[in-house]
Amino acid sequence: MSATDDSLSMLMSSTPRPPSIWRTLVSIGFVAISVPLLWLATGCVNEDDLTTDQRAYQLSQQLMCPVCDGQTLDQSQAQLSLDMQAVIERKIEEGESNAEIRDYFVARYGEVVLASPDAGGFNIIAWVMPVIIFVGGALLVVNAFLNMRRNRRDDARGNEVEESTDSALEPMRPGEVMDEYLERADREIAAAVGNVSPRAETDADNGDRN
Amino acid sequence: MDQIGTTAIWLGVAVSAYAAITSLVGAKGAVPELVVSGRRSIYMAFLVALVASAALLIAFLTNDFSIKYVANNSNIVMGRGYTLVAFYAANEGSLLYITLALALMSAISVRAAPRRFAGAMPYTVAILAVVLAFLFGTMATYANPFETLEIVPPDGRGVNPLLLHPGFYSHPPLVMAGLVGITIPFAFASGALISGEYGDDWVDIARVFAIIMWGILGVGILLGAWWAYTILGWGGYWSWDPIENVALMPWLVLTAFIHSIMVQRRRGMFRMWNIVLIDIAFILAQLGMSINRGGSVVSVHSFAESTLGLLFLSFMAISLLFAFAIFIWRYPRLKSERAIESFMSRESSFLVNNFLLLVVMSITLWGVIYPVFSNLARDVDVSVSAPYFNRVNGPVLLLMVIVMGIGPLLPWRRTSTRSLNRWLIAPMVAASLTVIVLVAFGVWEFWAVLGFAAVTFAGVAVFEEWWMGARARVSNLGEAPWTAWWRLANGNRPRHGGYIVHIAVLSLAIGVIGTQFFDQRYDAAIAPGESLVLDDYRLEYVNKRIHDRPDRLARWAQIDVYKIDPAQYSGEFLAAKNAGKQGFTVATGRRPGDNLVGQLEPSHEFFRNFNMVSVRSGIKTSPIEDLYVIPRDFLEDERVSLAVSINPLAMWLWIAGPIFLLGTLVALWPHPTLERAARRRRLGVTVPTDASIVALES
Repeated sequence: MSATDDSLSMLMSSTPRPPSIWRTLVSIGFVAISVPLLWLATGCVNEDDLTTDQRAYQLSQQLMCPVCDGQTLDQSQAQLSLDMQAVIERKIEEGESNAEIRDYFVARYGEVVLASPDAGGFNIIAWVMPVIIFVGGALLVVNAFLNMRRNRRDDARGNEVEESTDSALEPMRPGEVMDEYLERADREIAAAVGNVSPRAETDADNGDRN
Repeated sequence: MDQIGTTAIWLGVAVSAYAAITSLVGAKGAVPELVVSGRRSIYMAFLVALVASAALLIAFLTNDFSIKYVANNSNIVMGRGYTLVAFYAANEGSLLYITLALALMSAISVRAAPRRFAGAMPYTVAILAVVLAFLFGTMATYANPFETLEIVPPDGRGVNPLLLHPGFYSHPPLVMAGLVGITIPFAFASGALISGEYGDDWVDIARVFAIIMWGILGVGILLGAWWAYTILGWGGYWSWDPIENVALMPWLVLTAFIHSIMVQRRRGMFRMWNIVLIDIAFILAQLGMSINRGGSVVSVHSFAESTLGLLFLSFMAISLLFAFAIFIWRYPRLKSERAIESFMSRESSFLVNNFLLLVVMSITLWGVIYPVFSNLARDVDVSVSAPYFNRVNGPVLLLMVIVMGIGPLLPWRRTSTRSLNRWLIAPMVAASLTVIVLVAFGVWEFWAVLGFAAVTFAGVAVFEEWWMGARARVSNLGEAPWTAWWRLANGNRPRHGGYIVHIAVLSLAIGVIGTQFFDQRYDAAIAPGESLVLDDYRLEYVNKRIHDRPDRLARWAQIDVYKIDPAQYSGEFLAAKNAGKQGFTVATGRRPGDNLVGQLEPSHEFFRNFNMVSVRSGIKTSPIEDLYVIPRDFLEDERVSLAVSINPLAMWLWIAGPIFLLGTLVALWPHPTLERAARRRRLGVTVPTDASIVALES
């Protein structure tokens, strides 16, 4: 909680503090520690902790109704679906585990009865692919970002005027002129008074439009 | 009527083909007359689509069963009010409907295109015309709604009973129009690209139409969810069904597009990327229309199955090649002028937003095609449904909510960690408090707690923006707080409209978390006079009402809902708990503390012609939770089998709808000063140029 307490005091006082990467790191650290702690605290729910009804309901959400297009058991009013739910309830009362009950239905209707493929065998692809998509996409974004940065540094070395005339290159819409000025004036005054928004700061620095 | 209709459709083929050819020839040969003629042909295409639609409508109204489509989708007893529904209830009619929708929107967009876009216009018109020609051509050859029957039946078959509901007026036409309408921003982007005048001129009009289609699609999807939940009695609102997914995917990509197009508008960046996004959205919309027409995936929406899917799939492949080809061809001109300056900037937060949206889209696409893939690869059928999508998309959606909180706090170009940190204090404190409060009150679901914290974080960030902005105006301009806020939002409508949409998304997130993690359900069969108890509700089955008609057997369960004092039922609660039951049934009447809070009348209808059951749920709603009742079956022994659930926070799903619409409209609302300036510029009046601003500034 130290980060938030610290932050709170910052909110109260208006004296500017030196910029610090530490504050960011502390915030990140706070999140990085508290989230796994929360996970540990809340724990994983065990199937033994659930009532028969809760387990039956969960299973009925995990199994497809074989005769209805694309509906899980809990959504379907078809007779077969009602019968299957009765079977689920009976099997839970007989002490079978969720996995055993799922296997029972797979043996009868094939894998298609599972609403999501089991993470094993060939179906591991179904589960690995999302991770590949996420990591691959993240690498692409980071790469694009680094490339842009490198190009920018090269450009800046070759052409120093670019920076100073940047706002002239910015296509300003004529109608926006007055509004923009009003807004900017507001923000600059606000900045002087102390209600500094991050936009106001950079805007004052390099004349960007909001 | 059938002759008028068929003629109109063939005319449509001719007119759109003519529009495409004249536009291209006119542009290449620099013949302005041809270009103008091509453009006007789009209006003609709309006109013939209108004539064909009117012909079909009249055929329905006059019960013209010599037309096959009318005979299949209407009958004499059907209320005339449902004629419009029958119009797009099956393949041929819905094809005519999307043709009409696209022709109308094409005509509007062509009319609204700014003059400075004229150089690229012929190509845009040609693309629109080709798509229209494809739709007209498909109708003319494979799916003519005016196909006649040799033996005229005395009565029609009637429309699919699941569709016989006012909800069908809104959800399907909106989704269909939104999907086909993505053609418009695509046509403008591609037109600009082909013409080589790839400045930023296309950005404004493409943005406006992209937001319109995004709004239509978004409202359509939400209405579908609402319809499924409140009326169809599916129990849920979103089941990650393939048809739902193919509408969601283009919507996600459009969401990415309308964010990143702002970067191009303001900073001239992401040019290449924006083209890629609109191309993907267009291709996905084609995929959606193809899957809608039946084919390779199983769906609850398979109302209209046919081989047309394959035809649409081929058109999608051609579109993909076309988009790819012009992209490669014009690649050298697509380089951005500027690069991202800092990771701590609005630009890069849009980049992250785009990344997350596309990840959700790609994962969803993977889930949709995996069954097909599995079937092809090893000849085993698998299902990929809600449990899969919730698990793989859930964490990414959570991340997206967090980024939604940080993104708006970052200014364009760059910022310092210090000022960002200062802005993050309030949201962080609020999020931490949420976690503490939830855990203190015994909410221990990890993902739910994290989700609520993220929602608080993002919500507080938006309100902080409004609060600080309005406060600056109050203290500096002496405005009243509400005036200050109003003017602040008015000053930059795209941004503040966006914030309003963010609030809608957060409201949606609250509903999703509540219903996904905390729902309770209990099914039981009870006789009249008996009650079912779940949580602190007692549902007394009073009686049933029967309506036996030739086409259907409709039965209603009349249910009194009581709030109970659990202490009065402690014995039963204990017994139920020991038996592993969520709820229990009681035979006796009222006990002290019982309080009648409402009456519900859910229904169960059996349609004889279709051998199909359709239920209507009974819902007692409140901001805290919904009590949701479905009569699953009326049994022989007078009992009714009820499925009762408590869906916490469900109302927030529907509150999101109007807020979403409001935000979309705010973002779209034209800017009066901008309009005036544009008019002045057209009249040749000088306005301050960029250079004079620089002069003023220094």
